[in-house]
Amino acid sequence: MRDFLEKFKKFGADVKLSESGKREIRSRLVLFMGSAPVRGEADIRHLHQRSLITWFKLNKPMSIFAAIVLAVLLGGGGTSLAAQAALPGDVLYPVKVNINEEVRGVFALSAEAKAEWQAERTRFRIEEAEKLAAEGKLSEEVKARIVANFEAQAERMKARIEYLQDKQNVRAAEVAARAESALEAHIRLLDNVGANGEIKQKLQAEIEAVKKLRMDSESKLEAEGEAVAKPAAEGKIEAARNVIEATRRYLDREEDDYTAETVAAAEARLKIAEDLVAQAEAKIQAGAYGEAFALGNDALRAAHEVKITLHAGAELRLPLKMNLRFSGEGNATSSTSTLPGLNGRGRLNLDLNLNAGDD
Amino acid sequence: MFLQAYDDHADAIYRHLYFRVFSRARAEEMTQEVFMKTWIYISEGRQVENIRAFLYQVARNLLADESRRKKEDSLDALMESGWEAGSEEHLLLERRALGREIVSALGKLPPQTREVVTMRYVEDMDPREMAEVLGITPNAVSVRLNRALKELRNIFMNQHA
Repeated sequence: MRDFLEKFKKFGADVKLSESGKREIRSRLVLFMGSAPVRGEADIRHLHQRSLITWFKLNKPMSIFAAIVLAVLLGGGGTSLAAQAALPGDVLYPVKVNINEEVRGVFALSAEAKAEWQAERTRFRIEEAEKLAAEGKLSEEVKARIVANFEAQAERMKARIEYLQDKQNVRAAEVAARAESALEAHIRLLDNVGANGEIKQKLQAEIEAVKKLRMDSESKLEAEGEAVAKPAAEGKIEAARNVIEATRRYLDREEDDYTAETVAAAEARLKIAEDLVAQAEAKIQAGAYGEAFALGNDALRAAHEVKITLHAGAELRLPLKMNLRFSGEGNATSSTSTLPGLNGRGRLNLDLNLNAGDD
Repeated sequence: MFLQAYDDHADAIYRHLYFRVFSRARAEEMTQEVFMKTWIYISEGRQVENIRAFLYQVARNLLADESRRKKEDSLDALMESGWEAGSEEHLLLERRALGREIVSALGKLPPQTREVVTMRYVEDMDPREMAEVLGITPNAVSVRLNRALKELRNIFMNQHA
């Protein structure tokens, strides 16, 4: 036995990246880092280049294209850093969307990664609206542009998820679930920054569309049999546990930054996620893998939504003692709870005090 | 700074991934993904106190997703073609035999058990660091390790019976 461990140790030391593989990954990483610069640095650079941006604004008419070319020439590699902090209306915003994000998209090689990245880009457009609204700069003109950009990105996201459904249905269900929970979190954040109306309506419509895609994928999984559905359900449960655990650690660490109500609401929502995990486990024991997967997905969405809401609330620098809202709030701590945002199949009415899985 | 972390930890992360997915190409792809995801996290202005532990946590999350894939296929293929964990490996008979023995024993361990054995005996992590990565107490790590060694011993005895 000791012999085996020694052999294992010796042998394991030989398991390493090839020199060429390590170099290639490093080069790709350098390029990737340029396309997603550190936000703090971007902010500093953004301030530094403020005079340049102001100059462009004062010297209209100048085509955006010419401005970009000049900015790239003058700014060199720093332009992509500066652009990363740009919001709709800033002269460098097209660099962020058409250069930085497109470069990052190049690294999304698989169908799943492409769908995931497109979902992320869709979320970025909403975050931009939130930032502008929080700063009181969401003019009608900018709002119209944001709605158009959001719709365009959301269309691409849905097309990517549909394509993924044909290739790897389980993965499509996951991407759709993550996108859905992210959009759910943002619809409440829009309320928090007082940006409702058209943007919120479009967002609600996209949530419904993504939910439909997710439910399609989940119902297809039921038919795929144990060999596919069982590991999918087990993996889903493990992933949900990881997100619950990570979010709880974050909450413990940053608790002081949030109101007691926000913390209580987040904890109640995490408890719901845990209950869903318990139900999913019971379904696995019962051999109902498709249902276990769907419940695991629900747990993951619930936990994911809490995580996004907490992070985004801090990031938007909302008044720190503002109460953040989560799906199901008001019901979450009651003994019998229906979860808005998690219903839709009519089987997720939870009795939190009853033994999970008895439904 | 971040690239230094890549230079320092890329091989260890690759190794950690390899002993779970048993596919060189996949472990390489996933190594790249671990560093990209970590960079995204940092680029969002968030702090990482212990970069090594953080990289392992990202790798573990990716592995949780990966566990839904059919890894048996790659393990079978590996057993048939001989062991090839690195391109610099010379396919010496002795080494291939050793690789088979190790891969065969590890392949019989559940993923969680394989993880702690690899962390402790290949990556030389102490229980405290393992605890940080796994999100459990050092005591729980020791319990998991003892259990893992017991399982490995059984497998080893059976192989040599």
